[in-house]
Amino acid sequence: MLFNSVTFLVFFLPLSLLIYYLLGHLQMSAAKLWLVAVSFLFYGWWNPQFLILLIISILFNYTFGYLIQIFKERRRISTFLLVIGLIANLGALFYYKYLLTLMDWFHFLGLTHGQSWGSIVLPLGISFFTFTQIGFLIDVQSGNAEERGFLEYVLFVTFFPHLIAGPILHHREIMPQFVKKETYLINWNNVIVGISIFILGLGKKVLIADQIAPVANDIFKHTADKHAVEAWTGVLCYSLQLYFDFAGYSEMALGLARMFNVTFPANFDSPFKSKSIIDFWNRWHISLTRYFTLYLYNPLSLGIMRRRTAKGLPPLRAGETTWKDFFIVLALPTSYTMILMGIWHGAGFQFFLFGLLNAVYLCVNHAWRLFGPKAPKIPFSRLRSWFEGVWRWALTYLSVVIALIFFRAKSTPDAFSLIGSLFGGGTGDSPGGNQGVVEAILDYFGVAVPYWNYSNSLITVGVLLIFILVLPNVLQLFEKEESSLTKIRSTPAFFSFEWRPNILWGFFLAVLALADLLMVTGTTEFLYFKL
Amino acid sequence: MRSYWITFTLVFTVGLASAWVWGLDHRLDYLSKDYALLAGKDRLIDNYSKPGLAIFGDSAVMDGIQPERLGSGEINCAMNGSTPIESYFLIKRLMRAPVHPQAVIISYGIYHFVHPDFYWENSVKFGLVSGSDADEVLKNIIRLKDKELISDSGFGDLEQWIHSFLLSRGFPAYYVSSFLAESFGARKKENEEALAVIAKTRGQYYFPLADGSKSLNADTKLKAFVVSPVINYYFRKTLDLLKTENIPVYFYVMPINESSVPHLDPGVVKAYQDYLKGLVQEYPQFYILSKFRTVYSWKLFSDHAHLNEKGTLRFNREFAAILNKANVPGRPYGVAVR
Repeated sequence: MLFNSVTFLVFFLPLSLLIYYLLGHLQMSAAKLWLVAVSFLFYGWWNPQFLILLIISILFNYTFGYLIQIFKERRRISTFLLVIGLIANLGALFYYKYLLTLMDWFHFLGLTHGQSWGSIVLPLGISFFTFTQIGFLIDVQSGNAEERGFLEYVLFVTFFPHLIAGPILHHREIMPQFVKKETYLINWNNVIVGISIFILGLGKKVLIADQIAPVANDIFKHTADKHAVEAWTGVLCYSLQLYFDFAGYSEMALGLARMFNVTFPANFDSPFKSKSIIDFWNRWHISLTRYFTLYLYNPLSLGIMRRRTAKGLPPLRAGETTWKDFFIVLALPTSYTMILMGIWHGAGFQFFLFGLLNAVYLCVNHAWRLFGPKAPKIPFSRLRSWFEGVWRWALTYLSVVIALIFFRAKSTPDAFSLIGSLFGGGTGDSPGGNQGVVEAILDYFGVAVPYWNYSNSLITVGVLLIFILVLPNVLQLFEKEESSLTKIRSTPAFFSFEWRPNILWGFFLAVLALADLLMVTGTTEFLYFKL
Repeated sequence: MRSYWITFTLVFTVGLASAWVWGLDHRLDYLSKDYALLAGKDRLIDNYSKPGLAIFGDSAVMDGIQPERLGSGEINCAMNGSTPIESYFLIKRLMRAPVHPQAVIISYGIYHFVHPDFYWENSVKFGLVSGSDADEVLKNIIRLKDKELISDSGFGDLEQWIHSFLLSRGFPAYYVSSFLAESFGARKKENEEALAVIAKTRGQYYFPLADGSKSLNADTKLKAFVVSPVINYYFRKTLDLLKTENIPVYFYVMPINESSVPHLDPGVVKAYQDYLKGLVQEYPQFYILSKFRTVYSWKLFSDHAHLNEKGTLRFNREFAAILNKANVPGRPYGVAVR
């Protein structure tokens, strides 16, 4: 089921919330069971047969977590159990997500002949619920997680606001919330805050992301015949579509959880305000970055550091580090983590390149910090600081936009073809559109230009970027309400204000909710559902 | 907190109710022309007072049969993209009129016995099928497991119930795309013009006219004739209803473009003819008017299925002769033309 469907908004959500609190006042375990039931219904709505896969996955991982805990004193056995658990989880993920692509590659390389591999339907959210549970198993084995009740575990995995597209939860922050009695008793403040956050998220999805999607879709469908202006319009639109789509989804998840008295970690903290790629990855899909840092980057990086410390070598410091040390201690774990993160997003080679490109960005950023010029002792003038900020922001944003081409393109050649079009390599054969505002302005100044398709969308891009840059994000709007478990990194917005439960906000959000509901079609899926 | 809650609830509720009421009340202002054509047919049925031929069918019929060339009491109630499901509900309404037609003509191409392509998008959304009727149709869709009209994955039935219920009750979210499709007011003018045309022609409405077309008829897409169970159910229900009312039903297949003929699957055509012949044997008041199927030059078509002005002129002359030859009650037809 989709958060932006009429069925969800008009029936599923009100009914599930109402019965949850009614049961919560009678008996906590009944409310828990109800929440599990509606979560399964939510998941199975799309295709009930994948409920079986979800249930098997939960039973398997819970059993293995339990066994690992029983044998936690016997390291060899618990490690063996963990390895089995990892193989089973990754095996299932590999089968559903990567097997067909791999077979296609084998076929392309001439290793297989004339076989039809059929089709495998990717179960919704498999990457999310698999990774959530892998993290749990690793933590149980390393003694960082304790077994709680089965129902709490099932809720941790299946709680419908995060089940399909995250945020990727950590058991330590969520399972304790399902144990508390007050979670099941109505708290009007949480309900109102949750509804308000949900409305803002839904607005981002249906009023913004869905409206600019056709431009991005067209450009990525026909990558080679675009004029450079059209190509830039398309990729900029896509970057904003993805942001508003996924940030919108994450905020809806945050708001929904809050309606049920559960607080989630945030997934976005104004990533397009970032002035460096390191900062960007700390603010974009935060729960994923945290997961990969915790379970992939840290183990490798800490291992390397421990070896260095054992050899008496110092940690990396600006001005004292050699390039060799930089590659071993920083570039290697970063590249390994980012490439795997790229592949996690999808099976094509373009996702590998997406990860690799981001690894290169991060390494360059880290190298600049270690080997680049030191900050001047006398601070820059205000104007120069401002220009410096603009330049760093633009470089970061454009780097992200280029990387996202690999994320969205159907194939690697398509991605390179579009990058070529961005720099004038396109044929420019696509039929021209009507005169837009941009052409009219250029015409007025005597500059003759062809009529580009979607040129008015450039203005939309500009408006949306200003919207992102000057307004507070949801975390800032609801800072006093502690809307998420994530610490806000963003500096206060240019126009800084906060949500308040007053008439003005009541009016504004009612109008927005109405606009959201009227624009809901339930036919547009969220971009991250393909993971 | 209380003031926030009250403001939010009040503004949202009043806003939604206003949008809902306004949307239902002003459909002619923002829905596509198909709605205006339907509204025009509604008026023809509501004001039906002179017994004659009542004609039902798909867009080829709406475009091709000109009641004013046949006689004075004829009406053309054919609808774009419709199937026998829609004609059943229109005929049911016509039976409530103070007078009944002398005979009913039904005409659908092969494709519209197989694919009910506009049932949700037009018939339910535009109110041709009312809320309670839509509930009844959905019950039959589910009972007959008609995959043409319902998805067989997931908890599809429940989703479909909700969709059908809200769509047939005019839930505004389903109408906003129509509202935003063109600038405000543009559709109103076009729709009022279409209504006037329908009133004047008693239901005939041309598709965009062209001097000829070699486009292939939708029937050429079919590789097998598998009648949709729900369409079959409502077609039979129509025949039952008209049998009860003692009104003869004549089936006619509209002419086909000569360029489409080589692409028709002979097996499909035979199965279609067999299906109709079976119904003739089952229903004594059901007749097939002519052999399948008159072939016209491509020059007489505007597109894949619709006749142009020259085509309709020729067709209505021939059609009147067919009606007269078959002794269809109410003859002679086409006197004004001759």
